[in-house]
Amino acid sequence: MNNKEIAQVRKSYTKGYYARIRKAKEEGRPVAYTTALGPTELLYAMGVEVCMPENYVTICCAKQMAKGFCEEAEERSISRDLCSYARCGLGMMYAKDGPMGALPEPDFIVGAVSACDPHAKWWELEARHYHVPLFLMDAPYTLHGEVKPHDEAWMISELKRLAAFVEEHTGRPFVEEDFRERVRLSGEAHATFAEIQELRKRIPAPRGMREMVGDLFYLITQAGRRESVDYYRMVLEETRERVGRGEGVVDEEKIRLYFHNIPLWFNLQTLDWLAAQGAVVAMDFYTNHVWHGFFFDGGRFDSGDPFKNLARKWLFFDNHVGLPVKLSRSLRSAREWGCQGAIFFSNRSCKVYSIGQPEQMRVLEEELGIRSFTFEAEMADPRSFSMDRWKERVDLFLESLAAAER
Amino acid sequence: MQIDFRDVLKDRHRWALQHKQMGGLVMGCYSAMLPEELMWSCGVLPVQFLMSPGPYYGESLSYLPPYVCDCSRSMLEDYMNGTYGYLDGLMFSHVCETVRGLAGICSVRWPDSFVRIFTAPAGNDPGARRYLKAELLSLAKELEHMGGVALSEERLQAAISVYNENRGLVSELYRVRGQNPGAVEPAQVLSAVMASSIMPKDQHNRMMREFLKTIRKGPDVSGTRIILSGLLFENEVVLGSELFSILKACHALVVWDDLASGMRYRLEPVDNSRRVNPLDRLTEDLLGPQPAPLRSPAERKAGQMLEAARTYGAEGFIFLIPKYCDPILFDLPTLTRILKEKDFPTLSLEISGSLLEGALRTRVEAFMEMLSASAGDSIRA
Repeated sequence: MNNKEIAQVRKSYTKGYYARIRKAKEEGRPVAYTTALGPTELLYAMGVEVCMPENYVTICCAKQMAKGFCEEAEERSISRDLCSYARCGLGMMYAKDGPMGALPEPDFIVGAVSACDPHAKWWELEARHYHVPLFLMDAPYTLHGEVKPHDEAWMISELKRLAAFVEEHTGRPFVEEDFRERVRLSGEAHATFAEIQELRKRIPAPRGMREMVGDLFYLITQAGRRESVDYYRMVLEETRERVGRGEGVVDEEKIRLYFHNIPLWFNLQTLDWLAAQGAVVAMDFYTNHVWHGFFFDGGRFDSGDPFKNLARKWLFFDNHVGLPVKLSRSLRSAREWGCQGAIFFSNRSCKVYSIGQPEQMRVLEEELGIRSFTFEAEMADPRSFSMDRWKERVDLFLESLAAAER
Repeated sequence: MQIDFRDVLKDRHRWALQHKQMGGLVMGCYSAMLPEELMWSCGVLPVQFLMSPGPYYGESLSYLPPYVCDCSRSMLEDYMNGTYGYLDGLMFSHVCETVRGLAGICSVRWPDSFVRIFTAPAGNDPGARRYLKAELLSLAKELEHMGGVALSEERLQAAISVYNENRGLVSELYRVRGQNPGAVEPAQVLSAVMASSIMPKDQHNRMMREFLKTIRKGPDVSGTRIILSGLLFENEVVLGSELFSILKACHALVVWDDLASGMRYRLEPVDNSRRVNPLDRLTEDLLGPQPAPLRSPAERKAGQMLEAARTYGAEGFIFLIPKYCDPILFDLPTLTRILKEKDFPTLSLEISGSLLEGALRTRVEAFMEMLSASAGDSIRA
């Protein structure tokens, strides 16, 4: 199967996923809204269908509908300074609409007070609007990535607390064997995903950020399901074949880049444009450090205890670790994946990922001689971005990198 | 002698420096929900960063993006320029994502310094309780390692007692002011709370007792009773905020506040029952829900505001919203809706940098006129 065919599989599956959520609602099976952090493994194990409005926002952006929904929310006093995921998501809620129609209403909501400010407060607004119970996951924040026994114990306790909450509100019992299997599948998906990421070290890079952000859909929304494992095995096979043929994802790879922050969902063509200039994003923060951080750091689900495994995945989300860890991840990413330049997207919608970027740029230059380009915009609000201006500035940056290579 | 807490704030580093001269340690603290009692019991004086609204941010500009609040800029600027050079460490309260980023920058920029983030769980379940107690014990060991005193039940009990006394005195100040707003200027009330955050509590307690004697029998004044919510930069209070002079000119009487350096500075007392271990009591006190908007639902805050309005006869609310403060911005539509449903008008002022007199005066005057006429609508500026 080639890349285009894989993309079609994914597109078809995504449509099917949203149809599955609607079917669950029609059939009276519980539907939970969650943040992009899930935890899907636990919820799928308990027969809950997981719906992520944040993922729906990315589809909104792709269909160029985000501006309208952001404005809908702003008209209802949601500040324009707030996260554009939240504004777009809330706008869809208020408008009872979306790129494939309105999402089915949730039976309960799982927010995450530890992840970021919007992931605590956005979900409060949604829960209030739909009059449904809200569960807020909490978690330790480890500044230096040093997880103490009581950090892990609390994270496990939060997952168990969620299981009890789901039992209470759905009547569905928590069955450890089902959960164990879901976590095992999630671990397998992550391990396969890690192999794909490793292959991006090859020159030419067989898979770029454009492809990986699409692949990420399964890790975010389907972790714990067999389909995510099958999909990544398919991608791994295709990627290995490309490596075997010496085929890069970019026609003529001239420059390898590291991209930091969330992609511009309304303009993934920025990545296509880079590729057309011979610049491949061989490594990126988003598909490696956020959900996959524990695995990127070398961790695996090998403890034998599904709660411990899932807790470790949560503890090492990028949202839960401090700048010292982020720095070392960015350094390793740029170094091991052979990047010659970096693009840091200063995202007004995401302080969690954007604060500390100057330190990361400085360290990349001091330790690896890698220069960075930075631009400011929002990942889900097109009003703050000009493609023409961006191209002009990136062009100059790419020229400067090429000159340095000569 | 009449105590003026604004004078205390003008000499804000004096108390910390005295503590250091006596051989103690000083911890720079950012925001509420920190275990100050524990720090104090270990011989470490917690000192809250006081915020200036700028616009004179220099070096910090290259470390923080433009879309973060002035509070974080002020903290980083003052730390970088040496204003707080005497600190032995930094402790950040996990009240928002910007604070986390700030802690990260400090830990990277000064890798040999003691920099910690303290997370007080938002929930109140057994797992959160066990975590928090273990975290407090871990922190106590770290403080001992950096030169503090070893944690003991007796010292912690004593610290809790002196902090509780302080909370009681500040709460009494709020009560007296609420019942008779003419008894004390709003800037003095806020200055009193801010002063408490930069000095040993036993010394502040002495000042508070003297201060309360002088204000109990204040003049009766008439005016429109209002509540302030949100954040007011400390320098605005110390140097004389335009807001207070405008409120005075409009005959507005501040009867209560929900400001970050006011009532939100953890004023509920730690349960001082002697049958329970003081560490367990402190743990219980720090668990959620908490005053910080991120870790507490908006309805809870609205409930507290309505209760204060009923108790002190408030007629309207003024929200002071720091630009880029996500937790407050998310809560604001819900708060104003709930207050409006109970027929309380609200005015929301976005603040970035100093409160500009011209822009402020028009909006506040219009709002106060409306309150006087009891129109019942909300204004967002």
